[in-house]
Amino acid sequence: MNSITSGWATYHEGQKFGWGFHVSDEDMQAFMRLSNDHNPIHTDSEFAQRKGFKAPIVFGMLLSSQVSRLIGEELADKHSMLTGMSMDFVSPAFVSDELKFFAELIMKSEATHALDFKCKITRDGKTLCRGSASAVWRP
Amino acid sequence: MSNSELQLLERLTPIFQDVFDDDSLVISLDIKAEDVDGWDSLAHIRLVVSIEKALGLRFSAAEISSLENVGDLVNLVLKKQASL
Repeated sequence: MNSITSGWATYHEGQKFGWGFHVSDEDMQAFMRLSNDHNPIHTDSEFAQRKGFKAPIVFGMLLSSQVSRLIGEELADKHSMLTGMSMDFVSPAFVSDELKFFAELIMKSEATHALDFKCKITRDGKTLCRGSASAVWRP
Repeated sequence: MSNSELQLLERLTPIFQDVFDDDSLVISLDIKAEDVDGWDSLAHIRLVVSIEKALGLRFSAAEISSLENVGDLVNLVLKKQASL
């Protein structure tokens, strides 16, 4: 096994990945600038409370950006790139929540070097987001 | 064209249409990648993976690299289904 093929060889269906993370006020400000999404539900406490939330809610796309870490950082090598993802946001996350990201490799296609993952983000065991991600391994 | 080839083409057509985002796409046995707009390497991966999922099959890299047209793909799928 050489260094080019070693990453691929380590992947197996059922393989699990996971880590903890949180979103800071600085992250929210940075994402607001990046996305140009200035909806006050993400920044204004009173506005968010009028909408029924205890505090401003974290941008969903900021949460799903953990998928980028999965493909770019957590896999065994740097030869994979994200080719698709889908995420449902079933419950809100708030700044400074202790969040956990989980992913499971559910399909490894030997024919195409494609990888499919099932993903979710939880807080205290409750699922906030769930979805899927696809990548292709290209050494 | 045999009945089994025709039936499989009918089953593969919506997969091709979804992958290439073209509801009017009609496929035939002699179609090659260069005949379909957008059939690049990433689309090829999506196509193969979509077929694997839809039909419950797994291909090898050697099997896929040997395909030259849709007819080859159809024959490969029929051969795999027959061996199940």
